[in-house]
Amino acid sequence: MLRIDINLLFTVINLLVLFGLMYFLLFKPVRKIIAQRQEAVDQQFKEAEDAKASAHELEAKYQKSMDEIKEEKRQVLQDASRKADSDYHRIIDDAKTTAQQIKDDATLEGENQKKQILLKAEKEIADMVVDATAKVVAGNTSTEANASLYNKFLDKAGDK
Amino acid sequence: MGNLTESLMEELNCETVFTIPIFGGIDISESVVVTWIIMAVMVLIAFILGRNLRIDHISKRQAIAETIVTKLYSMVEGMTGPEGMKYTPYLVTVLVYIGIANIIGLFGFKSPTKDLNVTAALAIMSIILVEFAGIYQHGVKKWLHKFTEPIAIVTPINILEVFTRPLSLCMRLFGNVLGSFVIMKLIEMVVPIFLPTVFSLYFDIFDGLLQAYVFVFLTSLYIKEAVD
Repeated sequence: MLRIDINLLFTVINLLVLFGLMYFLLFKPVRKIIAQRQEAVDQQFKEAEDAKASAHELEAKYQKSMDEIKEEKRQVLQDASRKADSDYHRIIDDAKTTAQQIKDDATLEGENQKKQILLKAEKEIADMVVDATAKVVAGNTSTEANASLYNKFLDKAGDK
Repeated sequence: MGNLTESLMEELNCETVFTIPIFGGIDISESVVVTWIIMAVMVLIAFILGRNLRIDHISKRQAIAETIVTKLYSMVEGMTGPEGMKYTPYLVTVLVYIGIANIIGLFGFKSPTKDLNVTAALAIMSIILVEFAGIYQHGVKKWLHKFTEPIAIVTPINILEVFTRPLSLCMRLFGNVLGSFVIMKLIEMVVPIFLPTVFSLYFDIFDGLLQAYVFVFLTSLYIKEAVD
């Protein structure tokens, strides 16, 4: 029970051997594999982080180009609307001018036709007067005849 | 009563199992043989658990191995501190060894820790490790200077500690295992049924594992102190 002998040395050797075997068979490989896994996980996290960053970058880039496109669109729309506006005004003005022209032309034409008609009427009246005068002069007509002639003239004139 | 004493003494004596017939005969005690058995079991389990480890898609066996190693390491590393972490594998080995050695009595073997040679060997290795850790960490000069800290007058006490620490480690473990064994035998003699089972849970399993923990805890504490 209470003896100290060579077995102490054997126990020391036993423990050292046990420690060595446990270390190389179990502790070292397990720790190594855990460290490797940690490394792999860290690596993956880093990659994910990088991917996220680049995605953010791309997003910002796309956002910028989207903004640019929006701005361009707005510009184009504005230009188009302005152009349309000016075209509209131009067309309206043109139309107005043309209408005025047509109106003026029509008025002029009307005036002319009126004048011509009047002229024609005057000519016809004159003719009729001449005609009547000639008849009166030639027929030496009575008062009765004169009266009928006058009525005829009036009728004719009224027809015109 | 005389019968009990006889059987107690028989149990307590660490018999020589065989003698190697060289150098005038080297006696191999029972504790060394049982230690071999414990070693064989531990190494076999370590070999089975430590094979074919993979980083992903791990087997159940590897999960068990990782859990055991990680738990034991974290248990010891918490006590040694970051500087003493390199001594963790040895401390874990000792923890498992003493734990098994203390409860192997349940399987019909004689606990190696009931032999003073084994506890003395463990304590001597512990103190060598502690002092080595101090020298490795600080160098011989600073290590020597540490004996005079915090004041010069405590130097003899500090030197004394180099011897009292392993002695207390050795005797604590030995005394606990021996004491619990003797108490268990006495209980078995007085009440042979039921009661021994209950007490066995405490004395054989709880106290056995607790002593293993205490031994490693104190060694870790000394290492932590030495490397600080």
